[in-house]
Amino acid sequence: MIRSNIFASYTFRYTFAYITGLSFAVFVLLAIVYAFFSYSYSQQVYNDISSELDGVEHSFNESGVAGVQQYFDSAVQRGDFTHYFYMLADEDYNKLSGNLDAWPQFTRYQGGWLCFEFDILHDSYPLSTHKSAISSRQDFVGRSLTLDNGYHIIVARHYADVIHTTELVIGILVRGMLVTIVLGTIAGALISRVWLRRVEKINHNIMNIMNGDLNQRIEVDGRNSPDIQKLIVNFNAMLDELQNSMEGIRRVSDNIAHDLRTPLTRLRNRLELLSDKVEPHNQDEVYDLIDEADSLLNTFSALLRITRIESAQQREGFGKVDAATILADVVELYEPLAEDKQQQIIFEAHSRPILYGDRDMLFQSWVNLVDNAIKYTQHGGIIKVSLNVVVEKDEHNTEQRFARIFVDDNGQSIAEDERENAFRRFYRVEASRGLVPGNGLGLSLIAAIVHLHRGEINLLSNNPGLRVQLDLPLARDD
Amino acid sequence: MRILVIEDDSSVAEFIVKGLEDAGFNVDHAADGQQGLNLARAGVYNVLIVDRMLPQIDGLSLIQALREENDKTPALIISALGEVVDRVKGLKAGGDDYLVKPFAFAELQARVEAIGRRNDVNAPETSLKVTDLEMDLLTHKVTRAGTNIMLQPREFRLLEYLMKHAGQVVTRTMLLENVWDYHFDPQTNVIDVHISRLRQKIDKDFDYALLNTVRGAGYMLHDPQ
Repeated sequence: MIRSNIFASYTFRYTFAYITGLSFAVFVLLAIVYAFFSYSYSQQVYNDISSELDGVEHSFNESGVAGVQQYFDSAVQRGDFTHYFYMLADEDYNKLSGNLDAWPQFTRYQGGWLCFEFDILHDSYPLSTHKSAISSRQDFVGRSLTLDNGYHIIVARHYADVIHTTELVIGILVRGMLVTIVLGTIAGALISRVWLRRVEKINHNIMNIMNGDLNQRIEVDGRNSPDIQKLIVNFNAMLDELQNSMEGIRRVSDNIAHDLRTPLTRLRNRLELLSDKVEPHNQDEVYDLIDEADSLLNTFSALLRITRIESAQQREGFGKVDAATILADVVELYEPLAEDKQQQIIFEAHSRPILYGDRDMLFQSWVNLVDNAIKYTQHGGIIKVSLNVVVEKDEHNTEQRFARIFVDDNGQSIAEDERENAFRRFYRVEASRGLVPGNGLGLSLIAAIVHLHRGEINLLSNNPGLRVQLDLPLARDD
Repeated sequence: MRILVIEDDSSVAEFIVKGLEDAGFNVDHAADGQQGLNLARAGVYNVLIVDRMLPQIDGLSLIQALREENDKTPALIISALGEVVDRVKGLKAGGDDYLVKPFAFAELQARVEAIGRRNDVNAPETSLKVTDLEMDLLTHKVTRAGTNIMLQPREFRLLEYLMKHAGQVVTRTMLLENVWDYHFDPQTNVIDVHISRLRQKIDKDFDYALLNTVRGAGYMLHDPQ
């Protein structure tokens, strides 16, 4: 899982760009080294050949052809690492002395440089060091000089070792680049992996926090680098702020609901006392007032309940519950209500999933769903409740099993653009305002309960009617 | 019936005491846990109404102490803590019923009467009878004036609960908690529909109605004479 993410990660891409830049820098550096090297190398070749030419000229001026012969012999005997090839020729380019057989055919280049190929099979001075590596036909580089009496001198050397050295330098350059890229990539992957693990861990924590446990904080790990630690500390500080303001809002709404509930209850109780004292023909009026107060009290209770569930760490009441039994109880409770509207209510349990949850809360949320379905479906409609276990693969390709509940009706649907809002507190779907009794908290309460159970709720179209899809995770087998 | 109210909030206490006295009960009041425990130990009360949060000794410890002394006086816990877990804790400590503040007085009165009456019945009953309506708890047979009445299992439990509390007001919440065994707020008055169905079966073809609605409170099954 992590491996596939490494190459996609921003860190890796960043590292990759860094390596590309680094490789370019190494390339430039090596190119400069190469240019400098070849310049100084050719300079050296020039100096060497020039000094040899001077030597030959000097010997000729002192002792003529015999002196030159002596110079050649001593030069060959010097056993220099680099072998030079010499030739002294007369005005018509006939050989007088030297270890080249004949005056070569050469190409003249800029700066007096000569290049030629030549058979050195008759070479009287064997090429001891490079013989095996160099074939009989050789590339030579050299310079020539015409003496005052019209004689010609040529001093040449193999070009092969220059090429060899150049190849060596290029080889080092290429290998150096390769090593830089390979090591850099490996280092990049390793760094990305370490970084990804940390990010993964932080992400995991954030997911947990988003799932309702706002009390959780990301652990500050001493092994993390200071920048990550700073990120975590800042993130935690942000959570503190968020929690504070959320608690503030909750306290305010709790206080409002709570503080209004007490006087409202007092009012209700006084109305109750009053009901015995008023004239019989006024009693109905008083009871209507009591009903009104009761419905207000119910709204406040529902509001408080949603707030508590939403902010809940209250998974205290959680245990293993049999979804099919609770759903059957819900359907049984609402059957008479549906029958009063000549509606048909069908319950199908295709499996018996065990959920980890709060029995009363789940009952409450399913009651609200069925209640809504009955409310918003016309006389003679059909309401169908079904329970399934669904297996789906998540983004990590691991199988997730969860219970899926459908509550389908063929009554009024909720317009697509209203579906998102339908879960908001006190939101009432436009079409139902004033027609159907309710406080606009039913779906909010369901959403809060489903969220606490780490489930998911979706409103879909049933053509005609509404399909509510509820997914709840199964209890773990332990 | 003699009732002890243990509640430190004077306005709530006054409201409960006055209401219960008006309803014809004999009521005493204790303002803290220690005083409450001393009075309860006298053993003259039929019902205790105990606030959960009390100075000196909290409500749950008080009830626990009494139960350890083998005092089984029915206790109704009243508390602002309304979650199901809180209720479960309260009942585990030895409370007989749990009512969340703020509450309607009718609800309190109905519950006090229900648990006060529970004490009267010692031997397990095998049959219930309200005038000509009879229920056999062993064979699940229900008759009225000799006529057989067929009931669904849930209707049977509903009627059983009503008959056990015949002559008392039973609130909708009490029915939900005891007959359906779920703690929840019904969106619509779904209980009313169940009651009217039951009424169809036990009252419709007979001279007088046994199952009546008490406005602003709940229902009562009783002999009208």
